Amino acid sequence: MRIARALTKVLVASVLAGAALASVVGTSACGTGFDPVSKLQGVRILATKADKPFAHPGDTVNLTMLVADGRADKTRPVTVSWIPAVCTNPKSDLYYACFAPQYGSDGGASDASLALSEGGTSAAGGDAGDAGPQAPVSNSGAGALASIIAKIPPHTNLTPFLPQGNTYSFQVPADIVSSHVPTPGAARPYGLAILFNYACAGHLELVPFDGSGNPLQIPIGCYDDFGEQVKVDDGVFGLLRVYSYNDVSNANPVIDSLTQDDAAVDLRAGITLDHCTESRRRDCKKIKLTPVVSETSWELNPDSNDGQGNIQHEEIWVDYYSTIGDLGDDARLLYDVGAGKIKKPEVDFQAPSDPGEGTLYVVVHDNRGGVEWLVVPLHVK
Amino acid sequence: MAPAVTHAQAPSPTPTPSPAPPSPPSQPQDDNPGATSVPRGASGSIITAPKDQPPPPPPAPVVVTPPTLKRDDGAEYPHQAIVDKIKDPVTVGLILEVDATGVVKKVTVEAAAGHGFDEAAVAAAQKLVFEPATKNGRPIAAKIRHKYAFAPPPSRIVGKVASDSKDKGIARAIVTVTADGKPGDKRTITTDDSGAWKVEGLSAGTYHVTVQAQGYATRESDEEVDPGTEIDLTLRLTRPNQKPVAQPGDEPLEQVEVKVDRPPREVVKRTLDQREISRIPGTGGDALKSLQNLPGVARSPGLGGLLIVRGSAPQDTQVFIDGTAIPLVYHFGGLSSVVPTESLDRIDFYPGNFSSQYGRALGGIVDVGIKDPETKDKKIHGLAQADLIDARMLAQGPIGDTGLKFLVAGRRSYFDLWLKPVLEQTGAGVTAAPVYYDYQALVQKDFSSRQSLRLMLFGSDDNLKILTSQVNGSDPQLGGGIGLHTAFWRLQARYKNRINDSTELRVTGAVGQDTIDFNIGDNYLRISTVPISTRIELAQKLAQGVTMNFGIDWAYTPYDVAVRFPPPTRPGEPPGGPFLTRPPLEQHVKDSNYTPAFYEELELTPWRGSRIVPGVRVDYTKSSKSWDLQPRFVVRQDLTTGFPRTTVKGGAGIYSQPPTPQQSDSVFGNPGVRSQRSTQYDVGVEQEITRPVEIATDVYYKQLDYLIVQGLGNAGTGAAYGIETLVRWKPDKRFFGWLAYTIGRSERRDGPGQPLRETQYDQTHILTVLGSYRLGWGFEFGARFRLVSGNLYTPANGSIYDEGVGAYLPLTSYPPYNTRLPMFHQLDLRVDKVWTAPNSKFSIYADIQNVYNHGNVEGVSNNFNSTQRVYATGIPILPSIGVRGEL
Repeated sequence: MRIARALTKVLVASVLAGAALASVVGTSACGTGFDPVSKLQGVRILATKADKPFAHPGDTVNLTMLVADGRADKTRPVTVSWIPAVCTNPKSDLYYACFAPQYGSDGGASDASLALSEGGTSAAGGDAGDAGPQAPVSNSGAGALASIIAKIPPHTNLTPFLPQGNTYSFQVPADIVSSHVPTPGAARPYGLAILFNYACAGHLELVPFDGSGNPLQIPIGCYDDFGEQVKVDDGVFGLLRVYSYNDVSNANPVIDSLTQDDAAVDLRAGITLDHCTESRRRDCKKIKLTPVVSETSWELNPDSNDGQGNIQHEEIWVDYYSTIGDLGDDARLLYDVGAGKIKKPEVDFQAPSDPGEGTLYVVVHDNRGGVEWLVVPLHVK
Repeated sequence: MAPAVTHAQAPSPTPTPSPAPPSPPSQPQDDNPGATSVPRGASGSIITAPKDQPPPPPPAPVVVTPPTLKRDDGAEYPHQAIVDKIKDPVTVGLILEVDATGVVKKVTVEAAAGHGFDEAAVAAAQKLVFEPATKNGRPIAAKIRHKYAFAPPPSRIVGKVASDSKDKGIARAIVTVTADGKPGDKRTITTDDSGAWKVEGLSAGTYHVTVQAQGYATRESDEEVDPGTEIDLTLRLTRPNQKPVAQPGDEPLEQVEVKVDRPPREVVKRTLDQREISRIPGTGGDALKSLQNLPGVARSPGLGGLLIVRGSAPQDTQVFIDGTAIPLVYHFGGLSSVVPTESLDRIDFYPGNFSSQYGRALGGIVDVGIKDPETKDKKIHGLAQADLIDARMLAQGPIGDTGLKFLVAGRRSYFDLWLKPVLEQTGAGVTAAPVYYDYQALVQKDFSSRQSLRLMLFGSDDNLKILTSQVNGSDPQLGGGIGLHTAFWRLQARYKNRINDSTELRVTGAVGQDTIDFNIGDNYLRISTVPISTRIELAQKLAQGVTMNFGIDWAYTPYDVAVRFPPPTRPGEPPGGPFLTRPPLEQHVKDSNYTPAFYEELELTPWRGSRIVPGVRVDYTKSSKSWDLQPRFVVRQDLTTGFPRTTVKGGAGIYSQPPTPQQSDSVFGNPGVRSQRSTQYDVGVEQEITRPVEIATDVYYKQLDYLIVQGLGNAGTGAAYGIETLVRWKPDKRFFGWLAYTIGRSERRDGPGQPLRETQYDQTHILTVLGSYRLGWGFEFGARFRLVSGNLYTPANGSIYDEGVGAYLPLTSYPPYNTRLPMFHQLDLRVDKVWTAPNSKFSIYADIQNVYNHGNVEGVSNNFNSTQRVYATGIPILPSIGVRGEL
């Protein structure tokens, strides 16, 4: 009996302790207090779409950038500048081999291709301002950026020399695949072109390397009129990888529509909702947003298998951004490579506490460089 | 101390010639005392005439009588022979020169026997007094042969028979002592009123001791008795069908046998016994987690169960179960070890400079011993235990009257019951919630106390499969379907045979399977191996103080590996971006690895308290088609005899670790790489302070060469060095505990011209203080405090945006792991309560980690573009409760 009583007490205590443990762990798992990536408060590049996510050698690839400016103070306009040196086949496909001094002017010696192409062209549009088309000034090759940097004095104002605008075109070198060092284990031969750009509320200057040997140093900075580097919300340095194959292509996903609580949204009119009057944000009304992407976009990926000989598909996911309100999640999976369509991919959105106008960005990616987006006006009454 | 004086036999009893018959007088002293013409004395003496005697007149009859022994005090059995454990009789032949007065003037040893026998014989012979030899009635000098035969002095066992629950002696218990292999050599004694007993006059050998007392279960024990020694043996009896009832202040007492352990063959060997393993606070009673409290072992972050030994990576430390290597140590990377504590006999841990019997590791060695089934009362016993994570059961006992005994044990987690709904609430589809189980089953046959055969099946399985709709912002590919299945099993046979007092054979063979099946997104890693291994060791005593250990450590591992992953970057190189930004590489390989090894060691004890172990190990690796020669050397010397012992020790050796299939793979590794190598040095001192308290300090230095670096081959070098100190209170009736402090450094250089950097496993200061005390009333209370340098991490400052995948790539500082997190400190407490009742025992424990809820920093969290960061803290105060019942 004595043991039975003790056992009963212990079991009760165990259950209580388990509950306490769960609550403690749950508490400690709360967020870090950072603003989510979906909350747009500064200059942000959200995506760059290539009309040919997988290009063939010699193709001309047209790029379109989605840029958002969530700053409260937009006194200094945002300019998107493209680094005209297209970096091809850097060592080990590492993007920083394109500009890090220790990788040399060819971006990594033996496995770098120095194929030169006639440069790119750019055109303005979207949120980035209306800078006009620029003359092509680029050459290309792995480490071409490093070569250029080595020739230009630090803190030279680069902006006048760089093509600007939300669009850019470049020609993939004809030998980009053949000049890539063979990669054992790769499903097929490929080549890689990397483009760099900067969305900057100011002008661009060359930044000298600090001599630490760290390959991760951005060689270009965004500066204001007083020669000071702008705050992080005033500029973002970006890169885009474009892979080339001789015999494989990919299409960008297609967003058929966006639903709000299962009803289609008029994308031109946008979403209209009342501002939140609750004292606690968590009590505010939530609407459910779901992008509709048909299964035709969920392409087979011939180079992907599950290890047991079964060919798999692409992965497709969606990133959300908004300039006002709160999104319940930054990103949701739409299609898994094996399991297919996710049953509940929706995300919650809560209106802000104050009326106003804003923008919702819905960016759908696949895992082979494909991207498509929606830009939806938000009207908060 | 063994009796110093035994039998001294003089004159030599054999051969015993007849008294010399009347014969012609002897010739003048002959240089050939063995000549057949020389008359012999009654005790084997050979009579010769001194050289200076004039030749007798040829025609006159001569009557010669040999010297007659008048006084013989006997020879003392030499102490050195006792120390050297000489078990066989030894005869020392002497030539005595006896003058005309009967006094021994000179003693010469015919053939040296060593071990102090010669000196003892000479000393005894010099005290002999003879009636002189005569020639025609006149005393003359003579030279005679004399022999001393030394028989090993008898030994004795003294002891006490007591009850298991109390220290009170049991009167009139019957103790039977039977010589092994000699059923007729049996002694039967009855204990006195205090339970004391003794048996004297035992010759060296193995004895089987059986104790019977009315109302108690029979107790048996095997004892190895050395010549001229005394064994103090206390045997505790349990009442049949009744567990001892604990009384206030009356702790159950453990079997206490006073014996001196054999010195280790290694510089540092740390052994944890059952009580220490199961009662260290903060480990949840987990066996292998207890190792993390020893010197030289770094703190594993969070709940992690990594074994980081002397600055080496976890994969550089090998873990064995009774000599068979296993691939996994912990379930789900640290929740609990793959062998439950209840199945363990002991854990031997070698942080470095280990014996030649072990190899293929640059780090340490952990050898876990599964306990032999208990059959003390010829009944089946069992236990069951449950806590918040898992439940386990164990049963053991004899199999009828077959002479076989068995042990079966198993464990299964059940946190999947509550974790599955939690995961589903987050939107994840849970196909297989996290669950693990492990099992051990063995059958053992003891043919005698010298020979046994054991078959054991053991294994472990962890499984997890979920589908999450959340996407990792920094690496979108790390989402969707995630599966992890790791498993292994081994069927092991172990045969031990102590063929005679000089030869011992140990053979272990195992076959099994290892499985790793991991997938995330469209990346996967599938490994299936069928390891077959054999370990054969022959220990042969070549001479007194010289033992040779020869062994074969053979492994053949067919494997089937299928991998699809992005190309790896080399150590020290920043990552190339999220998974999906780089085309994955695929590899499917079916091959085998063949790694035979041979080793030989000599254990030398040239003088008292010494142990010198030179050894060599040769490993062959099929993948690199190369041999690794690894000479090793260990020396220990006791500076004092008896208590308090002071021992100095040291060692040096070369250790190789062959490349793994991944490291030499043509796609993901570096084809053609050879074994990595370390040269290890260790010097130390051990000092007994009091009977239970000992302090040990070691200084180690480990040079690392030919380290395999991704993309660069065997280009890496490095070093790990430090000082380890352990102040240990060995377990006694009430208390055990220790203070362990390590100061160390672990550095690597990834190739020529690369910066020297500290490794991610570097922890400068590691201090652990723990203790556990039996309070009485079945309560035991323990505490552990740890103070450890923070782990190294690589800060990020800013980022580049990857427009193709919508992820920010952090700009990390250089070289990696250049910043240390704040110091870790934590207090853990544990309370155990045991109730005992007839036929059963019931216990509960509460193990509370991080009692004062300190927010120990385990890492750094960055915001999405790495412009802000906060510390990520580890476990908060974390109570754990468990219950156990034993029958």
